[in-house]
Parts: sequence; structure tokens; C-alpha cells
Amino acid sequence: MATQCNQQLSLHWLEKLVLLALNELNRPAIYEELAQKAVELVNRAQTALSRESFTTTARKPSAIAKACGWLQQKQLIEQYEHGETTRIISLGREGLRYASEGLPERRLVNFLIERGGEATVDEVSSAVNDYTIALNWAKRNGWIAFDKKNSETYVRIVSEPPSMTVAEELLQRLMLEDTIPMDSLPEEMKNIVEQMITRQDVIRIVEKRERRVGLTSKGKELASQLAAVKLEDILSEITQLTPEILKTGKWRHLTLSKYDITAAVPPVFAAKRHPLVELIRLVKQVYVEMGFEEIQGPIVELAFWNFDALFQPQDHPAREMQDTFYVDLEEKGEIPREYVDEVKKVHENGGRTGSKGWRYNWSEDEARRLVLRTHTTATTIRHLAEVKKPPIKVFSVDRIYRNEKVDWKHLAEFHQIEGIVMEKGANFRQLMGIIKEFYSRLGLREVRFRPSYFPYTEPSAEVEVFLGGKWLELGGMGVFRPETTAPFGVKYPVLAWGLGLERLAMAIYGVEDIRTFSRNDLAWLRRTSPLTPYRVAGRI
Amino acid sequence: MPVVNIRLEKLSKLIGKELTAEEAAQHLAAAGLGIEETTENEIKVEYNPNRPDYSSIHGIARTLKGILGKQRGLPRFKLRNPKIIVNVDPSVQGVRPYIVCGVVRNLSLTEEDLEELIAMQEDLHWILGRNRKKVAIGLHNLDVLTPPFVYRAVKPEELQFIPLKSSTKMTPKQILEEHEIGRKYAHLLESYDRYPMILDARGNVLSMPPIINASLTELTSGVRNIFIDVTGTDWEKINQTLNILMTSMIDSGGSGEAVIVRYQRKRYLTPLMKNEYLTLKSSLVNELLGLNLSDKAIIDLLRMMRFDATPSRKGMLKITVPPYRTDIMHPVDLVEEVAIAYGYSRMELELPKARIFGSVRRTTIIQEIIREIMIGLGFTEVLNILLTNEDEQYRMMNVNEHPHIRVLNPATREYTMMRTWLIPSLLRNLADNQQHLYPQRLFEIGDVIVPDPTQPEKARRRLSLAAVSCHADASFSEMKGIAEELFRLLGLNIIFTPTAHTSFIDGRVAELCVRDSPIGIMGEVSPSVLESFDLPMPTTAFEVDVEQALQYRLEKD
Repeated sequence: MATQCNQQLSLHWLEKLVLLALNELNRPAIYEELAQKAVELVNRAQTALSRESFTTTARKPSAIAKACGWLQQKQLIEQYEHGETTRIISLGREGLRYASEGLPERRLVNFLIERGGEATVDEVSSAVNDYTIALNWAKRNGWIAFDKKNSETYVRIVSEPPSMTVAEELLQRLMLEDTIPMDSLPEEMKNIVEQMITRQDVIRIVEKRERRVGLTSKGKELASQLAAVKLEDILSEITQLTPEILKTGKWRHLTLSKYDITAAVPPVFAAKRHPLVELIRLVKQVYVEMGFEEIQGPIVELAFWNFDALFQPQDHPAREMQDTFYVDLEEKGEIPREYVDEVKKVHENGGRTGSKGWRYNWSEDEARRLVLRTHTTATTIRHLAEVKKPPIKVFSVDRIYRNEKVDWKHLAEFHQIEGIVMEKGANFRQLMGIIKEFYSRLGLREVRFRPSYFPYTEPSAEVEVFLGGKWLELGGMGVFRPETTAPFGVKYPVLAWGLGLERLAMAIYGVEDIRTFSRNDLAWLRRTSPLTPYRVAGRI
Repeated sequence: MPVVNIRLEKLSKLIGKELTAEEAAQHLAAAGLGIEETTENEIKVEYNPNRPDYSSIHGIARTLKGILGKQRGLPRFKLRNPKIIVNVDPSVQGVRPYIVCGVVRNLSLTEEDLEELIAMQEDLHWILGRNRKKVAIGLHNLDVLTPPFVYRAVKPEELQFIPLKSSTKMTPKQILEEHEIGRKYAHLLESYDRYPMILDARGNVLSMPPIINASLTELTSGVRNIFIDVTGTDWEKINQTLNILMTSMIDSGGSGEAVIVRYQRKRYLTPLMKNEYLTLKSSLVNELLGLNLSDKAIIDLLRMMRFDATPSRKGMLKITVPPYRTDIMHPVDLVEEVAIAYGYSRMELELPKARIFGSVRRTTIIQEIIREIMIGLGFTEVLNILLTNEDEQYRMMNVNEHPHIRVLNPATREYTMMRTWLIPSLLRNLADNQQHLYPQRLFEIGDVIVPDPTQPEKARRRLSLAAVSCHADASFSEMKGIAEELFRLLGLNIIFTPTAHTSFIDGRVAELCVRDSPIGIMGEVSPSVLESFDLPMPTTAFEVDVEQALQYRLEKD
């Protein structure tokens, strides 16, 4: 019972009218019949509201058809095609125009009345649109006659037409009702239809297989319940609350219809951060929690800082054009004079570090070349050279570049999570400890380390994190070699690491193709929840 | 990174202990090798290029023997007395000056052993040889040759021989021009008018380094005695290469034999196989690793890694480095060896002591605030990369090129420059998203790169903000309202000044100014630009220089 009640209340007033019309007809009917019946019902009702506001809609078979669609979905009616066909009339293109502008012959007569009953054909032709049609039909109707005076042809009213002809009445009805079944028209009007069909696209007739609407048993039950309610109560129900209804206090006499609150609605999308930016925000937060200070450095970088300062020999494969983006600029960069000699010595023979060095001739020119930095460690060593004084704990999460072919696993431009700690007594166990702490704050508690190699760190390690059922290689780390720190006057051990952001992001967001992060597919951006990284981190 | 295939059966035999694939993989990883793929009989491992001795299973087995306690300390490699002389003619001086050689006898190589040997040779060419430029290796069937050998440079058409992968005799010139391998490496000899050649006493060619060997000396699976030549431009590297080859081949069961290499003024007995000596302070080990190891413990750990170590005086150790360890440059390299032997996984983790408070940079704060405002205004953030191309940045935008940073030799063709503004990539994003619901409102805040001759790097980053609104009713007035609200919240009084900009519709574009200074541009994107992006939807856009805009704000404060 309760569900039935709800269903009844969730009906639109037009749906209710259709049910009542069917109830009263007590037989299956076509839309046009239902429209006529609905109008009749409204006109019978006592209502505080203007009847017109209902009849303008209810008299349109197209609106009735829509309501029938809704009712069918609710299984209150069924619709079926009847074997017989009906002739349905509707307005053509010209008919639509005539219905709003008036028939040409009517406009002609009006013009002539304005002119005192007559005018020359020339005057008519310039004042009345469609004047040839107008003259033709006014003559046929016997409203006008032609006279010749002083070699000019005059048009004169001979019999004033009724204020509304049957043809005009038909146009008006069609304007209001959209479609009318030919059979429902009075005989007189049927004749007019036959006449108007000869005029250019004023009226259209289509043969339609009849669609009949009948009540289902559920519908019947509901319709009889509705019939017991006063129609004005049904009609006083409204769907939309308006400022006008509120201001005038009309709401006191109205009922607001209940909605089907389970119905689907058009989607709405929240604007938000890019998912990678969201993750960067969390990573930065973790760094700050751990007491790190953010640094930033150039993207177009001197080979000196990117490679030489980090003890990468000038013939190192990573420095080759197929791995590194070199800048196409005739002018070379300027390298910091105060460090050139020390860096040169360290490369050539180890300088005062006790190292053998790389044993080749170091070229200043090579160090002055400009590259798109291949790691943010370039920024780190700059910072160390500038500050020197312990303790230092700094980080950056920023863009780096590799001259690689882009595919689902590789990008030419991506982000590195960089960090260093420099203090007296800093050691390798602390380096592993800090990385473990970092990842555990992102919710990744299973971390392992294995030996690795970088030209500027010793000992070096690779860090792997267990996520999504497998071990992921996420980055490299190590203690800076003396050949890296000594030329810049850094006296204590520097613990350094560079971790991949995108690979971490792939695991966190469950993304298979690394290019997703720069593709900006709106479906993905809209779908991805900002909660994800925080949930993985166990922070919410 | 280079990769080597390890046959489990062979590894077990070399170590003298049966290992399952799982056990082997575990030990290999602990030694610093990356496990690429494990099957029942084979493990594919990746090794770091600082360890060229890991280019063969023998080098890897040597370390594993130490870790598993099967054999510790310095491995011994016996060399028999020389029987073969190689004379070095002064003509090679200006071309490829150095050669060192070795002989290994009594080998019994299977087809698979041979394949591994060739793979090792290729890895060494790449790692130490810089693709044969610095080092080139030739392996020859000694039994078909008549010593002594000579290393000299010949004229391009002075002689003929049948090179590998050919059936006819060719001159050196023909090889460089016509032979598949010759053409591949011809650039290494292109600036010379003479080409290096190794010949035997009867004038048979062994090799034309660094290009190709003669077909005559080709190794086949039955071969027993091998002659090795290593030529190059870097004396140290060719010796390292020969040491690694010889030690590996001796470990595979051959007997090594030295070769006399006679230069004009000096003669060498090669391979040199010289050990190196380093002094290691045990305090360095303990400080760097945060451990408290005794001298004896350190000695034991280093012997596991196949070094010899003896105490010289208290806290000082004398370390002997075997000839195949080309990577030991400084005592810190030995510290890592201790760490690997100790086991990274055994070390207790701790945190650094320094108490410092964390903070983010001003630019991070500014970006976050602007993001909040833009999101509040209904704009979704996108993130594009800085690499782009002139076509998108300028031609499609219907503007002339501005000064910008170009890159050389990009592997991906559409990356030729660094972006100088953001709007073009936002329009591309819109074009890529046409199947999704409208309205689409996007923004990006990020760096552009502008040339700047005053900087040591000749360029600098500049923080830019751009937004686009794309839907059937997108209009200047909508975007103007948005820009006004953004700048009101940023505390800036923005003035819209009429301007001309060919990316936008004439008369519907404004320069955004703060105190008479332009800080950005805003307008309805011109239909021709929309057409070039294939985006049939009205779009308005603005872009501002954030740093410059905020500077006025700061001055005002």
C-alpha cells in the first residue's frame, strides 16, 4: 500500500490527467482524444489557478504523448498500435507563419479597411506580403472585386468577411494542439481542410497507424483512486517552487509534488587538482613533517652542475646526446670560477681526496654546455656549494629530462623526489632509515634496499617498495663521494636520494600507462578521487 | 643497463655448490645484481656498468664464491711464460696507438660457452670501449696462425683478406664502404688515411681493428687455443679489458699465457695483471656505515668480496685489489664492499640526528593559493610537460616565434623546444577531450622557460598561469569576470587594455595590466586558431605572468 501511495504522489499533474481521462473514457484511446478529454476535465474543475495554465499544455497531443511515456515506464498504462490508420493534420511551414501573421487574404482585407475600402494593385503589392496569394483567395471568397479607373486597377471590398473564418479557426486550433485527427473535426472544418490542402505547405496530412493507450490493472486501480480526489486538489499540486509563488504567498494553497528521488540526474563534475599535483602536495607535506626545507633550481642547467660537479666523467655514456637533451644555443653557459680548478683536479687525478680520479683531460668547454637537467641532484649540489654549513636537510619535487622515446613505460620529462641530509656523523644506516620513514609516511611500509651504482655516491643503493602485490624499483640513493663534496668545501657526509614520482603515482592511482599523467584526459581527471593518495597513506 | 644470462647448472659447477634458482637469485641480488627474469635453468641479471667483470658468469661466480664462503681473498690467476711476440709498428701511432695481447690454451668451449664469450665481448666494447672507440677486442683461433704477429697501419688498398661474414677477399677500403659491419664502424676510421691491421708471420690478416676480424681466425666450438688482441686509444682501458677477458677465460678452465708486446722503445709482458694497493682506515668504514666493526671483521668482509686485506697498523688496513676490479678509485669504494658483504638487509635502520624544521618555498605557497582560487572558480587543473614544438607554440597559434630554448637531437620528434606559454597546450587538451561533457574549464599553473642572457644558464623559469573556458556560450565577458575575481582575491587592481594579438579575435582581446604594466593577455580565441587545433567550440583564454603580477602586490604592501 505504501509503495502505491508513493507512486501516486510522484506523478506529474499531466500524468494524473491522462489517468483520469482514460478512467472517464473507460476504453483505450488515442493521444488526441485524451487531449480533448483532459481539457474538458480541467474546464469542469473548480480551481483557484487559471485553467489556461493547464489547458495550454494538456490540449497538445505531443505533451500527452510524453506523459504517456512516463506512465508506461511506471507500468500504469500500456500503449499498442492499432491496425487502423488515422489521418492526422498539422501545420506546414507556411501554415505556421499564417497562424501567427494572419492569412494573406485577411491581411489584405485589413489593409483595404485601413485605406477606406479600396486601394490600387500597386499599393497592395508593396504593402501586403504574399499579395498575389492574398488577391487570389480574397477574390475566391468573394470579399473583393477589381475596378479599372484612369488606367489603374483598383481593389475594393465587396463583402466584409466574418471576424474569424473557419479556416482561421482551424489554424488557431492547430497552433494550440499541434496535431488533430481528421475524423474528430466537424464536417464544415473537414471541407476547409480539403480546400487548404491545395495551398502551398499550409497544412500537412499524415496517415498514422493509431497508437492506443489503455490502463493496466495497476493503472486502473490508481485511476479510480484519483477519481475520488477533487481535481482542483490534484491541479493545485506544483513541481517547481518559484520566487513569485513565495512572494505572493500562493504556496499556502499549493502542494509541492514529491519527486522520485531515486531517478538518475545529469552528471556534475567537481573542479580539482591534477592527481599528480595532489600526490606532490602529499609528498611535500611528508617532507615538511620530517623537517625538510624545500629548494628549487634551474631546469636549463649547466653541464657543470648536472654532471661535472657530481663526478660524472665527460665521456660518461649518460652525457651523450642520445640520453641527454642539450640546449641548441650558440652561447655557452658561465661556470662558477671558484670551483673550476678543484672540480678539474678531482676528475683528472682525484685532487686532494685520495681518489685516483678518472684520469683524463677535463674540458671546461664541455662543462659549459647547457642541458635540460637529467636529475634534481644538480640543484642539490648547487645548494650544498652555496650553504656548506651543517646541518642541512633539503628537498625538491621537480621536473627532470631524459632524451628518450616516449611509450607507456617511459617519459622524456618527469618528476624526481629529491632529498639530502648533511650533518656530522651522517651515515648509510640513517640514509636507509630516512627512506624507510619517508615511504612509511606514504603508507608504504615494506621497503628493501639492494646495492647499486651511481658515479657520485658510495655506498649506493636501490630502493624497492612493495605495492600492489609486487616489488617496485622506485629510486636510487647513496652517500656522496668525497670527489663530489670536497671541491665545494663540504666536510661532512651527505646522504642523498632521487626517487621516481610517476612510478609511485602509477602504483598509487592504479595507472598502467605512465603517459596518463600528462595526457589530461578529462574522463580520468574527473573520475580520479583526491582521496586516493591519502587513503593509500593510511591518513584517512 | 647491460644484461648477462646465467645458466644455473654452470653457476653451480663454478661455485661448487648446488643452488636452486631462488637461492641463486637471492645471492645475486644481495651482490648488487638486478634480477630481470628467472626461469628454472636460467637467470637473466642486470649489472651496473662500473663492474665490467660481471659481463661474464665467471666474474659473477667469483663474487658468489666469496659470499658463500667457498673461496675468500684474492683470486689467483696463473700465467705461463710467453711464447708469442707481437711487434708494434710506429705506423699505428697516429691512428690507434695501443695494443695488448694474451693467449689462453687448452680450452674446451661448447656452443653455449662461445655465445657467452661473444656476448661478453660486446658488453666490454660498450662499457669500456665506448662502442669500440677506445677499446676493440679480437678473439682468434691461434692454431691457424704463425707467430710472430705485427700490428701496423696499412694503406686503404694495400692488401686484401676475407673478413667475417663475407666469402670474398676485400681491401680495407672495400670493407669500410661495402661490408655491413665495416659501414657501421667506418666513422671510427674516417679521419685516417691508413688503417690498423694485425698480421701473422706469413702475412695472414688476423684483424682490422676496431672494425672486423678475418674469417680465417673465426672461433668455432671445437677451438682449443685462443689469441686475444685488444687495441685502442686508452692504455689503461685496454689493459683493464684484457685483464677481465683473461681472468674470465682462465676461470673457465683455460691456461693463460703472457704475450710479449714490443713497442719501439719499450716492451711489455701482457696481460699486465697488476694488483693495486690501497690503505683503508677502519674508522672510515664505521663512520660511513654507522657500524662498529673490528679490524678483523672488516678484513673478513673484504676477503668475502675477493680482496686481500691485512692490518698494517692499528685501525689501518692494507688492501690488495685484483686486476679485474676497475671500479676501485678511493677507499670509499671499499666501504661499499664491506657493506655489501655485511648485507644491506642486516643493517639496523636509524634516523639522522639533526633537528631542523621543515618548510616549503614561497613559489609552492603561491601556486597552492592560486590553485584554490581557480578550482573555486570551477576550473579543473591540468598538467602538461614543458617540452613542446614550434608548430604548436607558434604556427597553430597564428603568432610569430618568440625567442625560446631549443633542444638538440630529440628522440621524440615533437619535442624540439621548451614552452614559452601555456595556452597552446591547454587548447590541445581541449581538442583531445571533445568527446567529454561541456562546459570544459581548465587551468594550468607551471613554469615556462625564457632565454635570459644575464643568467649563467642563459635561461630561467617563469611561473605562468593560464585558463581556458570552452563551451557553446564561452565569451569574453565570462572570462573577464573570472579574471577580475582572481585578481581581486590576489589583491591586484587589474585593467583591461585593448590590444592586438593574432591568436585572438580582433576587438575581443585585452592586455591585462597592473599599474600600466602588462602582465598577461586575455581574449576569445580566434576561429582560425581553433580550426588549426581542430576544436570546433568557442573558447576564451587568459594567461598571466604570476611572479610579475605578484611583485606589484608586494610593492603595494
